[in-house]
Amino acid sequence: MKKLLQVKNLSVSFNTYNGEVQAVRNISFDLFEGETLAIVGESGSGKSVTSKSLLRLNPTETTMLKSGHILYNGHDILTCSEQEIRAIRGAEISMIFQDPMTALNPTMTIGKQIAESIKKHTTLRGQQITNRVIELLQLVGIKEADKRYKQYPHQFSGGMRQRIVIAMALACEPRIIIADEPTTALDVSIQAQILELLKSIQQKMNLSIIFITHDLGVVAKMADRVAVMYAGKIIEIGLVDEIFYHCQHPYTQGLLAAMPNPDIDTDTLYAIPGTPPNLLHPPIGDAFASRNQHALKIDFKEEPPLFQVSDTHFAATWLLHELAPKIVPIHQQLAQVQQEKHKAPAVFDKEHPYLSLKEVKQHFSLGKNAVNKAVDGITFDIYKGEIFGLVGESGCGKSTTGRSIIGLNAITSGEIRVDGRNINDNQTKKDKLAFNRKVQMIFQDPYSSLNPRMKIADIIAEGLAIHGIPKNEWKPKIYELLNIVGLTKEYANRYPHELSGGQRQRIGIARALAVEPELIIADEPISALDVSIQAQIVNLLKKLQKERGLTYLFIAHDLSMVKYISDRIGVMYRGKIVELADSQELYDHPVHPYTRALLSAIPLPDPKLERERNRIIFNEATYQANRNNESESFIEIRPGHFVMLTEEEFDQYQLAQEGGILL
Amino acid sequence: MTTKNYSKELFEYAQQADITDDITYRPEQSFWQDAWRGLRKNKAAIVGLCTIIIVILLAIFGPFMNSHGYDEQNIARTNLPPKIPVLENIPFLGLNGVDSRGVDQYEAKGITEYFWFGTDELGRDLWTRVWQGTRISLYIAFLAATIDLIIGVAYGAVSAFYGGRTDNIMQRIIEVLVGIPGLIVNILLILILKPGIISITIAMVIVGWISMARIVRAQILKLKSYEYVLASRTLGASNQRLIWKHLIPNTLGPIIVATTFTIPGAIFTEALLSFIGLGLQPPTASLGTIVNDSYKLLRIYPHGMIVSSIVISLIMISFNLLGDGLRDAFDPKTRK
Repeated sequence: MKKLLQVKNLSVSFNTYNGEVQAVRNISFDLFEGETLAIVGESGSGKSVTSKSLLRLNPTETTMLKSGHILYNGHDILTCSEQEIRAIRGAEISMIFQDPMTALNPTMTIGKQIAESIKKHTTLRGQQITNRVIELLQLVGIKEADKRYKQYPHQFSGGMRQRIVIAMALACEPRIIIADEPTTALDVSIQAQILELLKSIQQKMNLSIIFITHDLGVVAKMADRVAVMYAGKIIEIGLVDEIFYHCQHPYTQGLLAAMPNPDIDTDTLYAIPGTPPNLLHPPIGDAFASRNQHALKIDFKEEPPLFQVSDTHFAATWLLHELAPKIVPIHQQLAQVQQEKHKAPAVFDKEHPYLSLKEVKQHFSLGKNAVNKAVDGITFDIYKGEIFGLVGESGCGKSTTGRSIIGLNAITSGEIRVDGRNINDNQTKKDKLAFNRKVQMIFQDPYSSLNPRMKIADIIAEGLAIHGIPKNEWKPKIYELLNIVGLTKEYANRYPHELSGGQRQRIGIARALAVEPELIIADEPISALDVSIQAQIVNLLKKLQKERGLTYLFIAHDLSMVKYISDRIGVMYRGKIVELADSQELYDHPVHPYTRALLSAIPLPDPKLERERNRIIFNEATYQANRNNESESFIEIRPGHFVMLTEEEFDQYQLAQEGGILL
Repeated sequence: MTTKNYSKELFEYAQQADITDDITYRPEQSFWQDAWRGLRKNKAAIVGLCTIIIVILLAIFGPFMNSHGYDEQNIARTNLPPKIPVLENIPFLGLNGVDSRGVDQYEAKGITEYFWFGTDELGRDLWTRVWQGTRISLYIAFLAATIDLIIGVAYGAVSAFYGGRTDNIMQRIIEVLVGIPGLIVNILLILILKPGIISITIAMVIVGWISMARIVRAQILKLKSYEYVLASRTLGASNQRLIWKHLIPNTLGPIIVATTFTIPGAIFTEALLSFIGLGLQPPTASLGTIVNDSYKLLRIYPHGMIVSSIVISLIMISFNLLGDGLRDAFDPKTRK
């Protein structure tokens, strides 16, 4: 294969107020023609900086190029003139950004935006450009392209916008596309569509793709080769199968082990301890050593070189040195342990559900005659001590449900009972406070869920202050809570911005625990965190649940994580729960077409499986069109397994069951 | 791959030291102590603060530092240039009582006293008048800024926090007020009330708080859907707590910036009103009236204009410097 792009010893630093941040430290890799190279890493590992360097897009005022070359087509991208680089940008190498909502100019029609780079880089003019734009839109799967090219970005959905961004990137038939987390902002089923689109375009046009992501599932689906970055370095690089099945670096092993495997039941997830190092002062030796349980003495003294494992596979860890002890990789260790354990199903008091929702509706008025039916008649119970997962795509009403339960919105109709009491009955101040002590919430965004002007101690103590606990009892309580969530008491005098995302989420949990609640509503508590941190937080939540007998409503869009943590799962679609069952049951025998599509769209961290898997496509329009919504009801098709089906669908289901086809 | 030889011991397992947090103990300090620490590190802000303190001290004690009264007229000593002991010996400073035509006015008029800032066309001592004027200007500015701050913050916070119909009505009221030109409101008001310190302050406040209210409203509208506010609500916090503990502190930055603009703005408005004759009436001095009196003589006797302008500029610059510093000091993110 032909080398298209060569990166040699690239080091990039940023000049910040606090000093020099060494974002990328001496990395080298090649990109071959027609391949997809995935760069994986946690936030701050330098993957985006690397990709931006390829087009020299890093801010010039603060960026310091320490060393290195990026060779493309005889040019060194880092030293060529501004004119040369402009000729390369867009025409030869183009970029797809993360957020399709901000990547398009809202005041320009999409046709004009796509035409911009065609005008700049080709000799096409007038009608030819329009034809080319329409052709591109058809290529990325936008129907009625000849009409829609005159529309503005707000007239398209998120997934459609990302398609348009891709069309813009493809406009001048580039040879390399850099995709910087192109699907992170999208729902799983749309993510699957976009990934498939990128793959088919790659084959048609013989493109090379550099795919930057933190999601190992996406990597398994997309990549031919994988580079794993940690603390500004490539610590392992190899073919996708080599990385997923024979990884050598303990960090890669840890990352893979931290993903919940839907086929194995475990009590705790493997979690890499600690947090990534601060690149203001990169550690001496192996940057990962302080988080590595099997660190060798040399790891703290000298940086490991890249050891060659096979022709295509390299890893930077001293464990590959001939003198190093041989250890069993973490994920294999885990697999052995997990085979032995078998979880006994938990028993819940089903007579007296702790939380019970009956036909709850939450409608928002959108001005004249327009109503947003965010939650449209949902009914479910959560038993004491249970973890109930609520999944669905963005806009399905899952977060609204959580907020209605805790009383942030007054519900439109229906009944919510907590511990047997209707929450809308108790109107006195005292009752409300008592309710607030019982039900607490953990929020999604660890950056906006803590007041930036309050110290950690004050944030945790807020609940104590509101509930009138005497001031002299606060301090021991704050220290105790910090200890419970795995932090030291030194954190009490810090401000939130001094903490990492995972640490902030721990503070959010401590704040909720301060009032000793019984039910915790966790609204996407891990979706904003890095993979290695996600496992830490999930383990913490699970541990707390066991120790304190808490009940959780766990809201998320990540089905594999929900499956791992929950006892039962409800799947929400358009404001309704369409399927509700024990998590294993739901995973093994999904019935509703939406659930099945959702399950098949989750990318799994297993490249072989990903190659064989066929995605079930859920076509919303045909589903809605052929349906008699009047006759739908929540039918118990198996003990504890409810599905929202119309009579017709139920008949079909029964027929299929009799015919021996397991749906 | 590597030819370098490593000793065997290096490949033994390292002792896992206890998870070392890179976090060190930090003494407990209140919010205000933290803010003061942050402010002290900002040199520009400290310079601004010191200048303001000096100007305030001079405004209080300056008029008593010589024996001349601010309204003491004497036709025999009109338009004297500044003359300061000791400094008069350094010719290029121009503080030796020689005017722009090269005539030593003190000698010509036979005056042995020293007038540090010179005198105006009625022979009044400018030193006394400038500081007397600064006192009144600052008084008006502080009064107007404080009232703006209180009304603006309260109005904006209530409007944004309660939202819905309350917000709608309150914003319509603001729009009506904005629709009338401020100067006309001022002029009408001063025509009804007698020109004076209080009526000028009232005239400025009547429309002055609107920009503050709008800034606060915009901030709080944004902040109130933040998750930390929701978190506090789920803990059972009262509206009062939400406003005072979460919303206002996070609006402090824009509030401080707006206030530091209000103070020099008020000094200017007062100067403008005095300039068109609706402000303070003679013989009362303010920085505005001094500028007004001396601009006519700018070509021949520039000292009156120069001195009063320098004082106005000093006040403005130092308030801006201090405001910047305060904004940073109250924001933990910019503190080191």
